[in-house]
Amino acid sequence: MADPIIKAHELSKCYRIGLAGSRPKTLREAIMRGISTPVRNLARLQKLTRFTGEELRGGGEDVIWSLRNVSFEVNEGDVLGIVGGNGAGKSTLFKILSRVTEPTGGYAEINGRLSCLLEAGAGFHPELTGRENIYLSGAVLGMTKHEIKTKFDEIVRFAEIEKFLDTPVKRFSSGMYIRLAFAVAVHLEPDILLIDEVLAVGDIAFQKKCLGKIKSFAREGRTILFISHNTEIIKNLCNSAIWLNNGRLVKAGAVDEIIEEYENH
Amino acid sequence: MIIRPREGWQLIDLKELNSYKELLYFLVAKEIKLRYRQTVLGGLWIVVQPFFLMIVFTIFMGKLAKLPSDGIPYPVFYFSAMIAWQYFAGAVTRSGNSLIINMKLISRIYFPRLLIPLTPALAGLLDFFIAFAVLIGMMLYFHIYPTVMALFLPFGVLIMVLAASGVGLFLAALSVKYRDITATTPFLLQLWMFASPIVYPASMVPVKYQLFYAINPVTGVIEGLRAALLGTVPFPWHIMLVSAITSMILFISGLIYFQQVERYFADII
Repeated sequence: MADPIIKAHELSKCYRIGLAGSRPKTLREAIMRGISTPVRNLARLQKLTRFTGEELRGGGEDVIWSLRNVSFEVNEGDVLGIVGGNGAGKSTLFKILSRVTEPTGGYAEINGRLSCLLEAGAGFHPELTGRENIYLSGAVLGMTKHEIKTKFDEIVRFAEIEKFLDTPVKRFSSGMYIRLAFAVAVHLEPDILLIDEVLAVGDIAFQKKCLGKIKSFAREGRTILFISHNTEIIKNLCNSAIWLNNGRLVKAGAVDEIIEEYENH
Repeated sequence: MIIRPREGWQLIDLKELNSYKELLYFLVAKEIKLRYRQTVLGGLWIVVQPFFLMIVFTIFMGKLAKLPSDGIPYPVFYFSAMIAWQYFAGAVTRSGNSLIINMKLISRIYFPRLLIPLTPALAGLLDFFIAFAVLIGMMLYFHIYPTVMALFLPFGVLIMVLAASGVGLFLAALSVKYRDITATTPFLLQLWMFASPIVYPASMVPVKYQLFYAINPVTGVIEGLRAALLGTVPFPWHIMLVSAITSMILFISGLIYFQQVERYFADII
């Protein structure tokens, strides 16, 4: 069999959470603290990006592991659902795979063009018009000018915003905004598409349309990783799933099996 | 492609940067389009500020304080410096704030972060060239004609862009961790303005300190511009050379510093 299109090996990511210091007890102490504030602030800010060996081994109450030694593989053409409660590490995983942030430990191997819908419309600027935003966010997501041009009409039709093309998107309704954002993203034609909960918005008709688009994506043999709290959609869309909890991989396998365990745990 | 924690020195991936040049184009276009959108004066803002500063300087620094101007009419003398300074101050400010303004983009989507602070430094050039055209108009009005050294103006513009981008890169990279930068920049620029030959000519600085004075790259830019266009002084090669070297050092060290700390931007911005 061919190499997996995504291979994650012991991916880990830690963040510093910042603890509140103790309060001064005497006036003298309060004054001394006031004077030394800049020094303490500097130390605190520097620590934001520096982790001690002890902390990296897993100690330290000031750090949180968003992901801890998560390994899995995704084959080409798979539609993988990712489930887990809030703070399970799902979005962190997407951020690492899309290179927004780098892992603290472990590695991921990616064999294809990947694009990530972490938050639809993140590449939009509110003051720009719909037309301008299609070009800008398309470029931000890695499309060439030529690609955007050839897909332009299709994007506009998909988003159903023909009338508002030259209106600044800050005046769009939130539904129009999200439709346009999603329309740009699904016309990227990546080999791997990461989708994070974007279907939670838009009306039912548009949700259906998006689902349809995602399914046709999958039929074309592209790989999709899909985060959702809606287990019905996951079961409907995905063939396999992974379950994350507190940064750790609980289980990976066929979608029905994982969802059933996840729902009954 | 393999994603793993990066260690040690980070080099700039020129090949990747090249593949994102269209994005740079779109970002610069956005910056230009947005600058004066939903304003009444629109593009006129480019000249409003230097124009009124020129009037104020002419009255107070020129007519009242009687500062020398190397024999050039005060309005032209001040306006020529203002256009370069406006570019520099604007590019440094916008570049320094650029990462914080684009926080959402940085924490959601991957692309070379370098493009963000470089955008204002490039977009600002359009304003500069428009203000420059106004300067040429003023020179014609005062019957001042450029010297042959005007051929070296592109060199001065390059010093200006490199210096502003370099300082902007440092401020932007620092601002991600230390928000003090937002408060520091206007203050820094105020001091910088007086350390540059804007309201006074560089010829006021004693000769033995001139090379030291030229470490400030804005000195080279403005003195070169004035000498080449207005013929204030013979073309100041020594000043230009020192300024060119500092601007290059600023730009390259800015790039290197930015590249080293770029990996944690999305985590702590």
